[in-house]
Amino acid sequence: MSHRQARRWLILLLMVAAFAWLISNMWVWETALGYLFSQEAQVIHPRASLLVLVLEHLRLVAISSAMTVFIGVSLGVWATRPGGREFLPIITDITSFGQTFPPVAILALAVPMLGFGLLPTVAALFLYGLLPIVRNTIAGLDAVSGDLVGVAYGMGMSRTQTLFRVEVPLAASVIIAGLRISIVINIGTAMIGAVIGAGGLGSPIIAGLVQDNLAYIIEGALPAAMLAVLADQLLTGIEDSLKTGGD
Amino acid sequence: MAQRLLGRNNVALVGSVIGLSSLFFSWLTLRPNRLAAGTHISLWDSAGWAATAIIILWLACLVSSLSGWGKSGNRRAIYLGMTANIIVVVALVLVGLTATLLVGDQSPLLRVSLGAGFWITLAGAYIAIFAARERLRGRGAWRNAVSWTALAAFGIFLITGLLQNLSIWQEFSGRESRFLQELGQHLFLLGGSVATGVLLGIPLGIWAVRSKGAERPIFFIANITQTVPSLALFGFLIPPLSALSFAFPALRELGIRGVGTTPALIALTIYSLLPIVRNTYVGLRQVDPAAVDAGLGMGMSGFQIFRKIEAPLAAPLVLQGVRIASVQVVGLVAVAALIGAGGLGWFIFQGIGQAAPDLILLGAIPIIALALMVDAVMRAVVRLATPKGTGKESQ
Repeated sequence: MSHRQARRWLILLLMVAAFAWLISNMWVWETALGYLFSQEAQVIHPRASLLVLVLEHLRLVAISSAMTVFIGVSLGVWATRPGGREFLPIITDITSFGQTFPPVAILALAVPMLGFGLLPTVAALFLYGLLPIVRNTIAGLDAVSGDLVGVAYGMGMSRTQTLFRVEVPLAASVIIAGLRISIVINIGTAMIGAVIGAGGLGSPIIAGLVQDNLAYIIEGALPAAMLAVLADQLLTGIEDSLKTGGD
Repeated sequence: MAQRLLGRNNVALVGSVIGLSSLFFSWLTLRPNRLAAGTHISLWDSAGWAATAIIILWLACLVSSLSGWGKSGNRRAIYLGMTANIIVVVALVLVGLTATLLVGDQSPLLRVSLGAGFWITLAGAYIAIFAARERLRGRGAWRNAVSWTALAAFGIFLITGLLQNLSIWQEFSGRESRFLQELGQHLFLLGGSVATGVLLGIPLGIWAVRSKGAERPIFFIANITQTVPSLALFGFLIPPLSALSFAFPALRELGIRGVGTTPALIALTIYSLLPIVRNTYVGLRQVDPAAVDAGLGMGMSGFQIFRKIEAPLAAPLVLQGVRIASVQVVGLVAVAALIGAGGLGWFIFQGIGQAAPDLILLGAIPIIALALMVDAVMRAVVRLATPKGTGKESQ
């Protein structure tokens, strides 16, 4: 690991630590928001502490992203194998078609089918998050040079060995980029999940909008923005280290 | 000529199997009013003749996907594609007529909504039509027929009122003026923010190319703002704008308030910036230095080179950025309804609030249709702007 990379990870680590400290010390928020919005009688959303809200939020994203990664990567791998090649055009078509759908519309469509709460939110996040991962898995695997795959076969590697030892490592940074896009979109869409009762960091914002309490809005918006930026930076870090690690 | 090469089309096969499986689901749901639980109606309960027709047509698709897709498979593709189109037409007629029959002169509160079976048949037809179109590349007339017949029929049915007894239509007909108003607001927010995004984003992109020092901060800020969740970004703008309008009542007269159109326009503009800046930057960067050299050699000034060489060569990528921004903003406008900015998202959140699924659909379906239309129009614009002979026409 180069000096520059080490410094970058150190900064990221400090940012994560600062975020964790900030969300577990509610008095900081109470003081700051109380000072900024002295006209509000109450500045902290009473439903739950920020730590609980962040954990709720992360749970939504984690469940859906775990399913997304498993199914999305498998689908992408299958579509680039001889057995699934035939389906590559339709899968690419559906992913780009689906990308045009707004995430909120997917969330809204899940309600008539699955009702309110955790289930429709997770289902919508899963479906929408699938697209970037499938797309990037296909793009990453397709970009692996055919010569290299030929060499791997020449060395006596089986198809599975070639996939896991040559193709996936070479495609890893592109796949992680898909994962990053998918997770960042999911963190944002999970905010709207609060409207259909899935909890998370959207709930203080929605409560603030309904009760016209500006402090609640900031209490939800600030940690949500930090969470999304942190997740993005962490995954970009992993992506970059895979890129340089391959050389 | 009569030689039939054996060959199976697995994509068409999957489409047909999905289509056939729709027979096991309910096609319509009948509810005494818009909020009550409903009774499911299968294909068999609705109209015998249409049900039989749909089964036969799906079986025909299944059989035709099994063989004959060898070298001379074009005719097969036309059969399959047209059959799938006819299935969609029959399915639309079926649900339209059944809904009219069920509603009859019953209570006006009665609601008939589309069920899973209908949507699954639509999905199967989409896959079958896709498989046929893949095969018909370069065969203009038939490919167009396969692509558009069902959509054209849908348009005709919509105009002639065949579908007017379906619940989504009933939700609409009570709210026509409101719908048009929110659609107008949606388009206004979309157009306003993307236009501002273009006016700010293109100069920023040019600046990032020209100045080494500006490149990093511009992309850093654009990337960070793109990452922030939309609801959070809307939220951030509310307190400062409220404070502003509180401090300067004159601004309030101009419509600048914490909630509503102003914060929505600002946030949506911020979101449209990154794709436009990035694509302007990449577009200008990929201009062949030889083309610029040729311009210099011809004695062009710096501005002439920009106007006559760099700008036209970068235009397709810039427009591609505008396309990405527009499609994204169509969806984000829906969220703006939460901060009182209106738009089609209003129906979604009203529907969620009242637990009325049809009202949710009245917001969600037009938003999806709008996104698809904006995408198609912008793709056509990009194609028109792509210079001939650069080998990039197909992108």
